[in-house]
Amino acid sequence: MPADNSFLPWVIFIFERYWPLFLRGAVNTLIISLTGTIIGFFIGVVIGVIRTIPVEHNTGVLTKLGYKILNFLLLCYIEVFRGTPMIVQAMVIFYGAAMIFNLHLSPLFAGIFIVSINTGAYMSEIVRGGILSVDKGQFEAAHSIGMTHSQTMAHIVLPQAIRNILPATSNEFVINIKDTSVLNVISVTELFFMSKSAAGNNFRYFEVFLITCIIYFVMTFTVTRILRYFEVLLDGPSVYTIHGSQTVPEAEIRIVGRE
Amino acid sequence: MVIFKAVSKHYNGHIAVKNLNLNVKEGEFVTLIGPSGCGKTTTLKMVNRLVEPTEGDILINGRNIRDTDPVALRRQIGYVIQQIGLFPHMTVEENITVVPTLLEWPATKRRARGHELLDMAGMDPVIYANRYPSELSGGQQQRIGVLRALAADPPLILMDEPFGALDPISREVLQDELKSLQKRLHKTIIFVTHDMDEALKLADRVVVMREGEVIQEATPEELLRKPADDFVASFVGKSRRNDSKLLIVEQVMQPNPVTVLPSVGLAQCLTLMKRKRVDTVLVVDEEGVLIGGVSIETLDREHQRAYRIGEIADHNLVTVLNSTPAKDAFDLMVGDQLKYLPVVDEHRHLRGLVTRTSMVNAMASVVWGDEND
Repeated sequence: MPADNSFLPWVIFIFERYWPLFLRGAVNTLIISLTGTIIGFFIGVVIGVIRTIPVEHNTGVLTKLGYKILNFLLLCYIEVFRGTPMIVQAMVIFYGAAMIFNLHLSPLFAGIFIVSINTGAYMSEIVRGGILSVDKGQFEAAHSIGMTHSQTMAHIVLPQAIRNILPATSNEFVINIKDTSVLNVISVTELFFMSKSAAGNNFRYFEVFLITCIIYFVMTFTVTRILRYFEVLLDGPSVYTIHGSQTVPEAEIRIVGRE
Repeated sequence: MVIFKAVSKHYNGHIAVKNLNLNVKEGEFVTLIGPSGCGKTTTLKMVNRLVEPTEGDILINGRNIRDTDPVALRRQIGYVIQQIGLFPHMTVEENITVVPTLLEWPATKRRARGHELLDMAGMDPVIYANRYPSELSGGQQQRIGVLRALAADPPLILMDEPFGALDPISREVLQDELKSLQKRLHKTIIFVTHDMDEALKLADRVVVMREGEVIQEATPEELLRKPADDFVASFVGKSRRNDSKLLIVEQVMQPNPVTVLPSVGLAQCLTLMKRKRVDTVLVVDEEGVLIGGVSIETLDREHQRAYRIGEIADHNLVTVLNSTPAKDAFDLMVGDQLKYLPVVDEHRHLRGLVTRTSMVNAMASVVWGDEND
């Protein structure tokens, strides 16, 4: 307990005393949200690609039926996980696994699992949108030069779609950093859980959570900046020169700035 | 090379192509032309099975394309699409060699082919190979689109309004390049367009379509001379039909040339020429029958020796009949380097005179349209 019972000394006291706790919580939060976003991203890509497979009128009846069933199941998954709160999903999966399958998951593993499939549901729709956003001419061009659907996807469409959905993906990552806080209900030792125990020990909620708030903000802000940097990197140089035009072959048209 | 046998395509009751029969010969440049929705693009896309015909067969080199795997088929046929359709995340070289990559050519061979093609299009590989499409002008991008179609050296190339999105100058340049490329490489090309100028300029044969049917199939020359019906005629365009080839000399000549009788004296003739500001006069008799011509040079040379025009007139003038096609008259003038060409009827009566000025006027009215028309 600090000598002076006022606000600032308490903040300093708590920080000095509990920083290892905060650090461990922050690291766990980052691990869960980063892993969850990456796995969710891959789930999203797979489902997005499956859901945009074109059904031709000359496809076999059985294949068509199989595809329809698969599509229905995927849609169920997407709708259920988008339509229920993650905090409830956490409770259902964590306690349900223990009760029905007698499966006692470690809270950290359960946390990553829940965040992954939750993000996957959102990402599937984001990836699908990204695929649909790629110009139709690109599909036509790829098909007309003899690419199969999977080659078109792998070499032409996905590289462009992924660039297009990068901002939405960073958004998911940031949301995940914040939303892992709900995992405290299944005692995952992430930042919110740690803060709660620190606050409870001292009955100092405002001081503790002010620190927590700052840590969350620093994490999300840093992550946003890093991802933005990658986007710019992927876009290539914003200053470039168009070499020559039809009328003036030696013309050099310098383009500055993208927007 | 490509044979359409009674090919039809229906889309839920709507008929896009109706009983199409067409035989594209090897090395031929065929353009399909017609208004939007006439089935020309559908026809093109059936050749590489992007669209499957409802009825009929298409044979390439005697082989029914139904028996060929669509993907394998497309890799043997070059295709240039409507929009430019380059892949924005690939470099110019990667774009050009995308088909050789699919065909699993070794990297060195691919690279060499990419550079060879860039050289052929007059684009320095050192500068352009590693650029991205966004760093090229529109015309250059479409040039890369054409190179991509040529990459695996397919004998047949399909083009779907490839130059539609370009500015007029780039379009002209690329049309010229394409035509010379086709002559040089001896490719069979099926080219879809809605631009009659483009079709007439490029094609060996023009196929005019309307509502899924072929209305006329002819060389550009035949199409201009004998449009099958009013639809084709209006599509070909009125100004183009007033082509110089169809005009006759009577319509382009100058009707009242300066003439003199053979009995006129040299000094009198000179005064007349000065007054009328001409360097040549035609000599006719009282009945208006052409006898010859006298130029200012002859007058100058012979004025010491002769008194009357009849004595010095050149009797061996090249003349044309008034019903001769104007183009033949112009060819004669240009070929024989004549300054003028008298026009006569069957009885050698002088009707008029074709000069270089009449030639220019006639051509101008073809190009810009005749104001009196």
